[in-house]
Amino acid sequence: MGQDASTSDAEAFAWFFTAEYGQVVRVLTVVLHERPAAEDLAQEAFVRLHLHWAKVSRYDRPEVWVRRVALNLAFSYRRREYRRRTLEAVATWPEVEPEWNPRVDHDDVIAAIRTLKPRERALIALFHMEDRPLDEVSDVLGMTPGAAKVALHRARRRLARRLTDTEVTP
Amino acid sequence: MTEDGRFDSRLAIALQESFAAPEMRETVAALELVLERSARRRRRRRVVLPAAIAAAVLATVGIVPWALGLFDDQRPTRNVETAAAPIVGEVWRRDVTGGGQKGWQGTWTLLLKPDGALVLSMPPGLRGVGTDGNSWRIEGSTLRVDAFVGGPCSDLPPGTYAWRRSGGALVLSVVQDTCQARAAVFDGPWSAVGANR
Repeated sequence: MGQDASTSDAEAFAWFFTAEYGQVVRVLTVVLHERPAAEDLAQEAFVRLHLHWAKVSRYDRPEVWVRRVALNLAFSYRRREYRRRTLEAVATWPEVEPEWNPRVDHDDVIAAIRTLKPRERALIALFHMEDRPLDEVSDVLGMTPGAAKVALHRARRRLARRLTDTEVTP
Repeated sequence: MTEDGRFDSRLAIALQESFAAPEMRETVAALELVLERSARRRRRRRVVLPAAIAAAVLATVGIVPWALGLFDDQRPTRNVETAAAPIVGEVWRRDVTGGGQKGWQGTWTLLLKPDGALVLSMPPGLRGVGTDGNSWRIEGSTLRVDAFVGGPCSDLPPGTYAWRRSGGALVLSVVQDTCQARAAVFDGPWSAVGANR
């Protein structure tokens, strides 16, 4: 009986992983500009999910939980890397530009997204790439829906200015 | 289509096409890695928790007699050899110039505390470079320091310097240090500022 439960848990986790891992990697790549780091941090988020699977799998939206953990890891990683690169630059080592290899040529849009702050990039990725509703986006980022709407509006306005000089509203 | 609609669709298409999801074989490999890492962490938890409890018990057993003064004859070991005593507990000062390291140039002070702690103060413009928890050790005429291991010298071994007194100054010459930033600070003459014992 216990064996059956744990087998079905393992299967459920494998299904969930297969469905969500790729999306989480994509969102983190938008935030970090670094595919290897995005993959590593996504895997770390899923390790934590696996350790808490018995509890989190009973949540209404475990996909929100894993994105929240993954993005928090990504934001911490960005801060750490920023500090490290600043120190290294001061201590004579040249600053290394992060890897950025978009598959298809959308240079202007991608370059504009790169100018946003990591949290804004996460907003754009969750809303425009993953097509998640705003209340879910705000839940992932630990913001109120109102704050998320304002932040998204600002991020879009900044992108629009860079791309077309046109005002837009979400 | 409205202006907003065109903008949304341009953004969505750029994101969709620029950021591909990993392929299925990569996803399966990642799943295996995640399960392995998770299992390893579970095993570590099983080992670490009892070990932590055992360590806490041992610490309590060790601390209580020490607190009661039962081990009075056991003095803490110090990093200082008799010959090195004159440079320990003294505050030394050095003006770092050149080396092309903007922010690192300026006045540094160095204190080798008798308990083995190394205290450095840095030029005011330099932020985020801490020396908390750093230490020194003298072996004969060699001084070993692990400054900046939490920052620009991370993953690098401690630096070793030959030390000698020359008049009122302490002269450090690099013996081996793979961290350029640390060598730029330590290598050279330091003048005495005063005692801080």
